Amino acid sequence: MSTNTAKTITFITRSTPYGHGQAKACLDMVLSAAVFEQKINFIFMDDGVWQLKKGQAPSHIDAKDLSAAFTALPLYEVNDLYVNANDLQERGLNCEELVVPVHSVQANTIAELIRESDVVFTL
Amino acid sequence: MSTLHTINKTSTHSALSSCLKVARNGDSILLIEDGVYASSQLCQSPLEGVALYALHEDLLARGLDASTLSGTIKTVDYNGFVDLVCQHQRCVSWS
Repeated sequence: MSTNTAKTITFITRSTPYGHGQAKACLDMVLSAAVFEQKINFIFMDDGVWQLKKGQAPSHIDAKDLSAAFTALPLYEVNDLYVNANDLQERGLNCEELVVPVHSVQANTIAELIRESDVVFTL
Repeated sequence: MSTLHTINKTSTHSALSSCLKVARNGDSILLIEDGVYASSQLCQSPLEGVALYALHEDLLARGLDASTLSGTIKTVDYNGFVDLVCQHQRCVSWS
């Protein structure tokens, strides 16, 4: 498939990892879009930043570890993960405490990413 | 006449702030599910005569360790949760 027909698809995930299916659904959509070799931006905002926290052990609540899947994203060519810097800070988190390397950006960078996207999904 | 308040949302939702308006002396507040993310907030606004708890399994699941609760919030496991329910006349769940 020639890349010039590829679209830029941006996913903004804003929910906590467990207790409901939103975070998992968003990750599944990212992986599906990646299989079709689209240009993907994966943005973590608000409570979505909690998904990236290191040291999760959801076996205690009979749930699958969502953060483990993030380490596989580079295999799907998904390398552009963004975090809203002050959402991280508001929750007392910093980049070293996250399971994967991310671009910690301000809101206006996210606004630009949205404007450059063909399609944006928020979950 | 005491009440057990349970909270299962992060502090970006209004659950915790609404609960804090009506929690009274002798009541207890227990953070469960996503409510454990609000533990640092709750540490900073201790209430006179209100015991604070967080569910241990939910803290572990989310990669939060109990040591960050600085002693103002005690952790309980599922059995402890049941004990708390039995110790109070009524439960109010905020979400």
